[in-house]
Amino acid sequence: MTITDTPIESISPPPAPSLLRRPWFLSLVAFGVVVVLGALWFKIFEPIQVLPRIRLAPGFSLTDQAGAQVTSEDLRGSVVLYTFTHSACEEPCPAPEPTMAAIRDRIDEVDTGDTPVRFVTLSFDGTDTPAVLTDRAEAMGADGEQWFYATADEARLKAIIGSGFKTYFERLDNGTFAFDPALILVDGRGVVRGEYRYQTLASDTDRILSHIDILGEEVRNSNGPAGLAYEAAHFFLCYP
Amino acid sequence: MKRIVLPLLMVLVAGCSGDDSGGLSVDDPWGRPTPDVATTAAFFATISNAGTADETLVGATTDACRVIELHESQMDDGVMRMQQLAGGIPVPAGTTVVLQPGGLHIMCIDKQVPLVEGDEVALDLEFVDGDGERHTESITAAVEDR
Amino acid sequence: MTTVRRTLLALAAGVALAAVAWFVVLPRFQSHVFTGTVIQSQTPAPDIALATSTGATASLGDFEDQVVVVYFGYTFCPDVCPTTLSTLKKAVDKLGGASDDLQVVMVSVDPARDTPEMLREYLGFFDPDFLGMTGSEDDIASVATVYGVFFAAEPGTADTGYLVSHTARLMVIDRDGYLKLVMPGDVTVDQLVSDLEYLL
Repeated sequence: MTITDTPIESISPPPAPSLLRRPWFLSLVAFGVVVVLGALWFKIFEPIQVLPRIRLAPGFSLTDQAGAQVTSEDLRGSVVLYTFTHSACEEPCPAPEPTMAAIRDRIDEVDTGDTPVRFVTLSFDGTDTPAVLTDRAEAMGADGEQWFYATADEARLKAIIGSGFKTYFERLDNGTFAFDPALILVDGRGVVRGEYRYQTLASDTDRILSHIDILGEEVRNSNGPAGLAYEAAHFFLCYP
Repeated sequence: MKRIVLPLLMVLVAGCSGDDSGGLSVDDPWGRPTPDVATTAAFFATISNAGTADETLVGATTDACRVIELHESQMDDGVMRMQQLAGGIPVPAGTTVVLQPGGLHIMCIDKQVPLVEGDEVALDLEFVDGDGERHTESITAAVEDR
Repeated sequence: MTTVRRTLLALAAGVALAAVAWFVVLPRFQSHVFTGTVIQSQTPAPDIALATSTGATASLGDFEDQVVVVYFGYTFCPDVCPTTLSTLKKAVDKLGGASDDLQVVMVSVDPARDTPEMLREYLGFFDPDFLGMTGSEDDIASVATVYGVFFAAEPGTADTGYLVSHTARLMVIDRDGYLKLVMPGDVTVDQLVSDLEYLL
């Protein structure tokens, strides 16, 4: 016969409940897990994708292919894709005008809501007359409205294209230009959101279209409290 | 009783609408203090037309400025543009038009006197009513930094 | 209370706290909500090297470790420019001692009328510490271009001569010399104070 049925443990003072049993500790663990998972979820799945706000697009006054003045302020409120060329640029011309045309043709695939999408091709040659610009525009399939060709005062072009759009160009002795081909995406507030240089012509169309789509989504959704989520997306570098 | 109330009401109404000009009233006229070297300034006010005839503010005169023009500033998400309103500022019957910074204003050109906080500037606003008749509203604009 | 219920409650409390942290505390502290557009530039703000209202020349590098607010305006401007400058002055007053490291710069878009002396007198009325900058039309245009500022003289009447239409945004450059923020010209004093306080 045993002396007692009581287990030995009950004689010694009851052990402290393990940490896992303590409510405050459990709360803390849950808190930590949720915060980390939340951050991971945002980082990995990127529920909101944003384009970086790279820098301010230049302010300018251009003369378009119709001879009309177009300023950077006129284009405010529109998503604008810029590219650069010169009228004497012959095949195989490195200027990505065909890419521009392809994006323009497929622009209906993306939804930018009420925000219009415009296409602007700037000529490096400030002496280009509206007639010269029109010839080039027609050859490339630009309608002069949604997509127009323009140039600016020769003295200002270096500041606009070089300093503003960070795109190298230089007039050569033979009258043509050396330049780095580039497409620059600017949002409705005049901020550069995408730069596409040294592109492979085929793939860039899809990439730029998807980026325009992201911009469109941002314009539609980032007002009010949802704007905070967009700032978070920038904070977590949810860039495509 | 009626004999007392009616004249009293009339006095009140007249007081609000600023004497003989029907239903027109100019409230809260003011201008911002400006640097002495500045040759321009702007005046603002709230113009109400409680009458039945349309009115148009077509100009103003004051000793404080050589010339006055009516202008409108437009802020389109960033760019500031200012244009002269050659046709004046219409104040249709039953409406209130607010002249305020960044919008409609009375532009003072060749400012003749310093505009210092606490000063008062007398202005004669010229209106044209629906019948093409001109009349003048005299106001005193307070110079204060708002 | 059973152990299971207590555990569940504790877990729920933790999750609730996390939610509060995410949606209330984090936005308030981590990412200050700015008025206007935040720029995440990888390169320092383009330089502005022009003649100043003090009679010297200055460039952005002279304002090392200071927050610089750049405004493009002109002294003939009756309405918007004085309003913006007055707003800036009120913000500076509200910031108090914190504004010691703040430099307000107005770049003239009307160099023909705005000499350094004119700018000094004009800006001194608002705040003697406000700095005016001017130069040749060409130099100013180059600076304006890279700051996304468009300006153009537009014909006025015989009395006004000409008026200048210009982009009326405020550019805020942080202590490290990066363009941080672009604010609309009709920003309020409280919005300015809130954002500048955060950057200072």
